[in-house]
Amino acid sequence: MATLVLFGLLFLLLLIGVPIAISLGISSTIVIILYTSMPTLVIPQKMFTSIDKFALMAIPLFILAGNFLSQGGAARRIIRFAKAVVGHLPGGLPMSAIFACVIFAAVSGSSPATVAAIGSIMMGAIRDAGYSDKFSIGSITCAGSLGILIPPSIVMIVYGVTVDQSIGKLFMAGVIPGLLLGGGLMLVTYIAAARAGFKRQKMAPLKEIFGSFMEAFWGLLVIVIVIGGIYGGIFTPTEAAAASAVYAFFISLFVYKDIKWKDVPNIIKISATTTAMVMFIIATAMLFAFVLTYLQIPQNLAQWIIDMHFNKYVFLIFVNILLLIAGSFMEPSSIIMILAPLLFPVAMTLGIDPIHLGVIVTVNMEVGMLTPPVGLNLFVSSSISGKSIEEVIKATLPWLFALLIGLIIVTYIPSISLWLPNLIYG
Amino acid sequence: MLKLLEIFDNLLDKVNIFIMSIMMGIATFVAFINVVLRYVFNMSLTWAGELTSYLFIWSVLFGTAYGFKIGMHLGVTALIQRLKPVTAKRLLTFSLFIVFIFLIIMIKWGYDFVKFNYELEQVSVDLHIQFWIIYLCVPITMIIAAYQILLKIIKIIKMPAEEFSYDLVMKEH
Repeated sequence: MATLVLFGLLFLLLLIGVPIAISLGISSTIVIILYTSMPTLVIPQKMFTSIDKFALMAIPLFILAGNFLSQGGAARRIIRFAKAVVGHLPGGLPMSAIFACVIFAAVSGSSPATVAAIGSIMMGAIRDAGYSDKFSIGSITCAGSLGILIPPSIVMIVYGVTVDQSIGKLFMAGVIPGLLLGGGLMLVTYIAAARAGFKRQKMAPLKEIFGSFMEAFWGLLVIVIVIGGIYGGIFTPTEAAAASAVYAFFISLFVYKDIKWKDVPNIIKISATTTAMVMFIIATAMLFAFVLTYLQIPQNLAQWIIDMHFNKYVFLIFVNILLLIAGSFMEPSSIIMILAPLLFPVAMTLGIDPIHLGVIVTVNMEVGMLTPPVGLNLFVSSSISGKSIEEVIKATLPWLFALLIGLIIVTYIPSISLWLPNLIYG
Repeated sequence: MLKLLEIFDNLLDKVNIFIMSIMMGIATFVAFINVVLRYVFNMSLTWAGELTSYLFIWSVLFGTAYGFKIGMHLGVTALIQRLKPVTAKRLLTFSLFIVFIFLIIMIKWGYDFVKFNYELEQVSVDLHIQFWIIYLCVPITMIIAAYQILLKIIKIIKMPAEEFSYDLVMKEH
């Protein structure tokens, strides 16, 4: 009964447009009052302590780093470098945009931010070069979703904190799948452009490749701080985040000089509001997860799955479908906070690696950001390009298909995810 | 009177934005200094981790309150966007009202939470600050949040149904 009330209320509140964070808070609160003997003091306490975790502090720091870099012209320089490297291939411009998204994903932890940073510069440029909207909008909208798979990743931090797994391992596990999916997206572009008869351009001279690399160098160094720092065991993710936030601030202000002191308060303000949105959901979702555990729902679900003799593979299909559906309606952090505590115990009993599960969840969330009605990337793309959501959705289809194939590969070949973290952490 | 309210709202936003930004800035700075001290000078400030966390939490809660003003807290709006303006207006008024009640209750519980810790007189591990002072941010920000939602409710009631749109009510800058 309590379970029914919990999920029924949540669903009802979401349906009538109550913000996700508040819906989670209200449904958990009502169940706590009706079905438990806990004092109400537990509620504010749980909410406060759930965001009082040092690992979570990496979220505001990575958001800040990403905002300094995208406002500070690092995105523009990364694009120039990407153009020099892959610009000569068929579909060179959209290919460069995807390549730039892959690089930008490695300095930013969020997908919509990646779409905004690369899309606002490249969408117009691709269209002006004579490509259809499909190429200009579809490629970037999909490639931007790599932002949460290639480290740093806000979604992986949320997963790591929710199910108590090493965020460093998760970050490392995202690297190869991220490159694989990025490669897949570029392959689709290559084939589509070759078919559409776009001619190859002349290859950029080595001087331009080198020159643009040097220009982008200071921005690219963030990748070394984050991936190198965690890889080398020098930094914890939160420390890497702190170092990259201050580093990004420093190079944007003093090296690239694209932002002035007077722009700094606004960048901090934008970062603070984005952080608040994510963390407020975490606070109420943790309360929700606490109620779930109290009602023993994850344990019962795990038992049921075992009784049904589902094997690992059937379970993973189920996980993918469930996450894809949820991803169409909600935003990644809240889905993870609600579903990860449910799925995690089952996955453990079936012998699925917790880090591999984290990668599967993240790739699903990527796809979720591209599927209506609530696909954050779609909204960002639509506002940048000025096209309707329907047109944006249509444009993304070929690349979305590639991502789905990538999802299947990543789901059923664990070693793609686990090879790198196992190599590093032994 | 209206003029006075407008000045008050503006001031409230300014203070709110100032607190959430300055706390975030200081927290970032402290986190960074601690990294530098640890790796360059091989020493670390024991209290830095705690200070970073609490500053960020204050920033988050004030950001949350401000977020209600600018409609940043995402919800599923598929149904509201699809309904006729008159029905959509009624439904959104209703859901804003629910949010308002929840926030009012959170003020009460937040106050209880502070009071409970005030009576306990415990101090934090590293900073030795009384916990109730740290937790003060909960009732304060919930009061601001509830006030912002109250303004939205007044706004939506005043708005003629034919002009109603979700974004017009919820998003403000």
